[in-house]
Amino acid sequence: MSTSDRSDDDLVRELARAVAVHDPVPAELLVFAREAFTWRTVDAELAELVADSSAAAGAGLRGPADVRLLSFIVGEQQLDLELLVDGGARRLVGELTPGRPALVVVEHAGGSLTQDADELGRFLVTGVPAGRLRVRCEPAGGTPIVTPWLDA
Amino acid sequence: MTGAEVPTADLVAAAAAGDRAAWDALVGRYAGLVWSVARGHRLQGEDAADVFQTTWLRLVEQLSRIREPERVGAWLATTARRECLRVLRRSGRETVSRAETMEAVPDDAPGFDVGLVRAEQHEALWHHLQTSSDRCRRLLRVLIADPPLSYTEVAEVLEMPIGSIGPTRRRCLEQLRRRLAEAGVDVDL
Repeated sequence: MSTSDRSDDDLVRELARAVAVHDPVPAELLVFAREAFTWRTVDAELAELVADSSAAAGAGLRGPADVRLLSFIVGEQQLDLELLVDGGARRLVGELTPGRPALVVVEHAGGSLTQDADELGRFLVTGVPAGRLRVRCEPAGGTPIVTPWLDA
Repeated sequence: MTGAEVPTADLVAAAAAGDRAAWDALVGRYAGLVWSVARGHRLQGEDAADVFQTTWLRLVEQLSRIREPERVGAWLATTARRECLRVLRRSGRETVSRAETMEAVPDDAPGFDVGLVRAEQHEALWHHLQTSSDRCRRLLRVLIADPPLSYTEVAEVLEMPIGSIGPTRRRCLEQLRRRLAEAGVDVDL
């Protein structure tokens, strides 16, 4: 290793110290990362996002006319979601295919909202706070599924 | 299993099996890297927090599906970069203002046992890192990670050709040294 390589390594090490002093990970974010472990789901299968109308346009809903359509698949189960702006909140219209009754739980940063899907697997959840959310569906007699976290 | 000697892949496997201490160890090992990717993209405040939080939630989601658990650092950095691009797209900008360079130094910065001169050097280093080109700042923030990523991983994370990592690093450090010298800062490096 040449002298300049060695002094480059020294400078990188010194940069690391400067960053540790001037831009450390905020303490509350470290707490969040540790606590994120409690969101681990061992009993539900993770549904894969297969379509997102906002993928091209940029994530998030901007105005009252905006609708975001999302589709998820896991195994034989499909879940379609429609996200609409509803004042300061979000309205969520969903449908399970094949259709079947299910318990639907919308988890968000501040808690969760529970709703039943009808015989055809359709559901409506209103008053969902804007921000990060995921949807968990527990079909009668089937394996629960959960979507990845979405930025809504 | 939390010691520094525990292989990363073992921590991932243990966390996937429900071992909380292993998860905490992963956070301890890679939180700085994830934060550096967000901050390297000039994100601040809620945007930087959003990227950081989403990245760790994604790892929780994917824990049992990580294909190369020994490379989870690169996986986290890549996920964080993708989230950065999402956040930047959402706010309709490619780069943000340079206002963050004016940010005050947090009061609760960890107390390193360094003399006043050393503290001034760090302040100067930090300032010149922040005002470096996007390319240099992003690269250097990833390169300071401890444990370090391999050049192959760095290339993947930043979508740069692997052959350019070494030369770009050298150039960025040269520029940094020159600017420090111009500013009359003696970093002795």
